[in-house]
Amino acid sequence: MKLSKVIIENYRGFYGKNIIEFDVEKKDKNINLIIARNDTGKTTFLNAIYWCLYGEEQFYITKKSNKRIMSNKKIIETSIDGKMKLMVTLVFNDQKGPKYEITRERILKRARDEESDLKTIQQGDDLFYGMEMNATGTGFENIEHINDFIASNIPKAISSFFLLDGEQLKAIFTSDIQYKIKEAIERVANIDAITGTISNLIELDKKYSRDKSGIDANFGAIQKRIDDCDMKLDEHNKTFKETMKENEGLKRQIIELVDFLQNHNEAIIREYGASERRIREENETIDARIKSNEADLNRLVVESYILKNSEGSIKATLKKFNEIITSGNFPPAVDSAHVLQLLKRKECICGSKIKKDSEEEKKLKKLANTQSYKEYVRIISEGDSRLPEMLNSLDDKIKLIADLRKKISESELKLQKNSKDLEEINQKLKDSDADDIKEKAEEKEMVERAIYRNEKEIGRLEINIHDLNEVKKEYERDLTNVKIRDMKDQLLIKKSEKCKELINYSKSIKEAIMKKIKDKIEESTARNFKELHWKAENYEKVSISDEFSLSVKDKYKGELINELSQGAALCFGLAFMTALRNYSGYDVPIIIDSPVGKIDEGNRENIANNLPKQLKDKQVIFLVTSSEYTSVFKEFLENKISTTISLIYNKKTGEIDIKNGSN
Amino acid sequence: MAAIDEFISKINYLNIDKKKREIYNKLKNSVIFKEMGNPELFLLSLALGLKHGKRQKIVNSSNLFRINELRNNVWIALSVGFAELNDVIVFETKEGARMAFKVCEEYANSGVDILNDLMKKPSIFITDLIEELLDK
Repeated sequence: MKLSKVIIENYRGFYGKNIIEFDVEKKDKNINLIIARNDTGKTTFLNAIYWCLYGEEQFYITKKSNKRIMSNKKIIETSIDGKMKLMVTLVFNDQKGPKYEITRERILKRARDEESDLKTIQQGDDLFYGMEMNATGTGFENIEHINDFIASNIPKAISSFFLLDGEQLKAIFTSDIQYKIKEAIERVANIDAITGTISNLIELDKKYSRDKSGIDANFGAIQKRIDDCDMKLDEHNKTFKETMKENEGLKRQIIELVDFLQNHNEAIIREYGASERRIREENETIDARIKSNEADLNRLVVESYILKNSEGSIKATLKKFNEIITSGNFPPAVDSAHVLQLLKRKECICGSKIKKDSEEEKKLKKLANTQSYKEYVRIISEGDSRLPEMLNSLDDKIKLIADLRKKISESELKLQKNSKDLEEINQKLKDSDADDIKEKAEEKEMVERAIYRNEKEIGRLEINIHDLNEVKKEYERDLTNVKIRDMKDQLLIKKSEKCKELINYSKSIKEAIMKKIKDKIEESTARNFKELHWKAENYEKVSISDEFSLSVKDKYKGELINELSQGAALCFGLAFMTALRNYSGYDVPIIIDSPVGKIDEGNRENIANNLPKQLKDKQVIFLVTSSEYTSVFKEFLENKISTTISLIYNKKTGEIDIKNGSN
Repeated sequence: MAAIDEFISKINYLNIDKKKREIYNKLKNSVIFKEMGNPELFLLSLALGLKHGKRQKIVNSSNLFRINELRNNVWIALSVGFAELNDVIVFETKEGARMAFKVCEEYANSGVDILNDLMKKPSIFITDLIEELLDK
């Protein structure tokens, strides 16, 4: 892949559209020269290529360089708020002609700023795109993923091997050198695939470690729960079987008892039993009635007996009452209070005085203590009415007594009859093996109750066994999950081990490749250095250590890498870069700014003579000043030069003019 | 209120001799009299005393029950008293009534012993009484 054309538009000193073309057709001439005075665009040219590919600049002395990459002239001619475009396009050819066209564009707006006339503001991201010649060679097609294309074909990491500033070459020995050399060798070895594989394997190994569940602490506990379930199930099953067996025995017993009871006419026995119960209940009722009658009888007898024995007294009293009522012999109606006053005054009702304890006084005292006439009449009348009633009731009571006696007697007869019936029933029951049947019936009831209890127990056990089995299944599922996790872990451990094996294997392959390439680069660097540096025979050994540090030793085995002169360092750098370039799998042109800036004629002669040979078939672009392009240099290079371009500062326009050929 | 009730309202208790109290209580708790009241037991004792013509004075009184608990049977008691005293004072004055009840108490005091003897054969006691009544 050779750089055939560079189009630079409004990039720093390159105002307007500038086209630099290289002749890539001359196969035996691989050197291209861009000649310019200092500060006339050589480094800008190098930076334009770098910016186009990677969107940033690389080759200014300090990183703090002016970041204003738009052409000053373009800014000045653009009105405030006006937009302007800067653009760099690189055209690469293969054997058939133009193959790739890579372009980066940036749009800026001129901004008002009192302190600076050149203030610009970037408008959006850079437009970065590429075109590729189609397979038939009839037209360009858009490269879909331009960043991926650049990363695959011209990766930024290897840019330092094809875009070089000769004056800065020595710097690679002085800072982070070991890392850069290792990185450089890795890059040119083109073993990204292995490195990527190792990284992927390391990530995969980490993932396996992350995915591992670890030892499950519940494992033992779950197993114990299952064992407990099994133990309980054994117990339940044993009890279940025993109960079932017992129940079967009881059922057989029931069948035998039923047979017995059926064969012994149980129905009749039941009837006898019912009759017996009925008679006994009737007897209870009769007993209660007898008791009630007896209580009534007792009361009536006592009442009648009292009346009968008082009959004479009552009759005498009645007779007296009759006399009183008939004769009207009631006491006089006097006020007892008045009589008491008379007694107090010792006076009679008639007004005469009365003596103490005389008959008159006694009569008065009796009179004072007597009920009033009205009350006395009422008592006599009441008695005269009540007492005959009481006497008359005696006959009724005696009649009632007779009735009650009869009733009691009848009840007692009934009881006797019932008693006889009961005796008969008992005799019949005895004759019917009733005791045996009763015993069997009771036994049957007991057995039935036992069967009922057993069936309840069996039901309970079935539920318990079912529940325990369910619980056990759940535990077994848990255990299976734990085991599966454990198996997965084991698998992950195996995978992890396999990963580590592969990592080690890949690393060993990588190290082997690296070592082989390192050895070749070491050998090539040594050879190149001898060809480029006129005094190279003074340096006994050029080597790259296992730790990837560059070493140049004299014949006394003294390390000189940090003591090389400017010229020797440039030659060594070029030798190393050329070696790297030649072992690189990347087919890109080499552009070297100031390749022979600080070296003497002898070395220039060697470089001019040998570098093109060392980079045979590789497109090389030297950016040189006129002082570097000496007659010796020119003489040795002349028949290897394909294109010569001069960059000339135009004082009138302030622009860089591009001219083919040397000025 | 009946006139007789008012008449006897201020006469409190019927009595028995303290010595007979224990017998009286035993009889009261017997099967036959358990279901009956004090008036029935007292009047039966009175009737038995009267039948056998035995009165026994009360030396130390022991209250049995209030006279008004006799209810209609108060006429029997007053009749017995009247027949014994043969004086209408029994119905004329409270003092007379008291005298009548005292006669009753003395008959009962004697009759309770007779009843106690009869009750030694409780099974035939009532039967004997019935026979006596039906022989009338």
